[in-house]
Amino acid sequence: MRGQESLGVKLTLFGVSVATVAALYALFAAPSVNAEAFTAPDAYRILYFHVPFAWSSFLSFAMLFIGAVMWYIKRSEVGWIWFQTASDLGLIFGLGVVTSGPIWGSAEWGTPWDWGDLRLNTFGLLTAVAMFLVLSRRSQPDTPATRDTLSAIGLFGFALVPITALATTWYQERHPGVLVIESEDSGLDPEIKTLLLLSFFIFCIIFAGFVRLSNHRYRLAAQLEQLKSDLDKGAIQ
Amino acid sequence: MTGIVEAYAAYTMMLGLLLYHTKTLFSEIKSLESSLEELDSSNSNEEE
Repeated sequence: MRGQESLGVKLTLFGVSVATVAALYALFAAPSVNAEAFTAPDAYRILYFHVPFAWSSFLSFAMLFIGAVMWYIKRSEVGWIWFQTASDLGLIFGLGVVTSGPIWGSAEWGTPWDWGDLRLNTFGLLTAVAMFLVLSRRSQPDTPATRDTLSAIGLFGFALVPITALATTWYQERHPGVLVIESEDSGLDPEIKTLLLLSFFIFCIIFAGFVRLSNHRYRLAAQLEQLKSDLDKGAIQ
Repeated sequence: MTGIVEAYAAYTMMLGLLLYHTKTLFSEIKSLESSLEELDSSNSNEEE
């Protein structure tokens, strides 16, 4: 790999390595919770990755929103690269949330999914939007019209972020409330909260590494397309 | 039931997603860089 993306490589490798150690710590050394207050007390350990995955997916959708707006307003290639990177990351982080959440739900609630809970369903829809964007980008010809359509859908997806984030405050059913902001309901042990914030910091490093590498990948793909097109034009002349 | 088996399964999946995406990024960048170098060198050969 060329030297220009060495920072992306370093951030990604460092972040993923530390995340692996953090996962082992969360499983075997993180503090336990009151066993009488939970049906499956050890399943709570999932939250150290589940919550940072969810926050990282929100970051991805914020980036997707900026990319879509840059494409609409300026027809910016950089904006489109951001859009592609953000939709990939939105899908990866969203899938992490919608797979780990039901595992916890089935252990703690006895059901993997609650169709009556607003937050679960809006987050599921958000991940479905990311999946639609990634699959459509790969299957449709890359034209300005396709980019316009997908950007419009991406903007709709971003509108789901505040709805999902605030859903527990507006309409709390089964999903636990906001964890980090102090409230009567959160009651999170300070050590657990510190570990959770540390885990999110590790995910910020991974996110930054993924963004740099992914942007580099889409820039290379654009260069390749341009070079092929120039060669074709040269051959015709 | 303590839920530790479910926690193992969830972490395996979440770490798996991170590793899968890392591997995909590295292999796609490597493949694109070699295609670009190939085209560049064939282009410069034609010019010579």
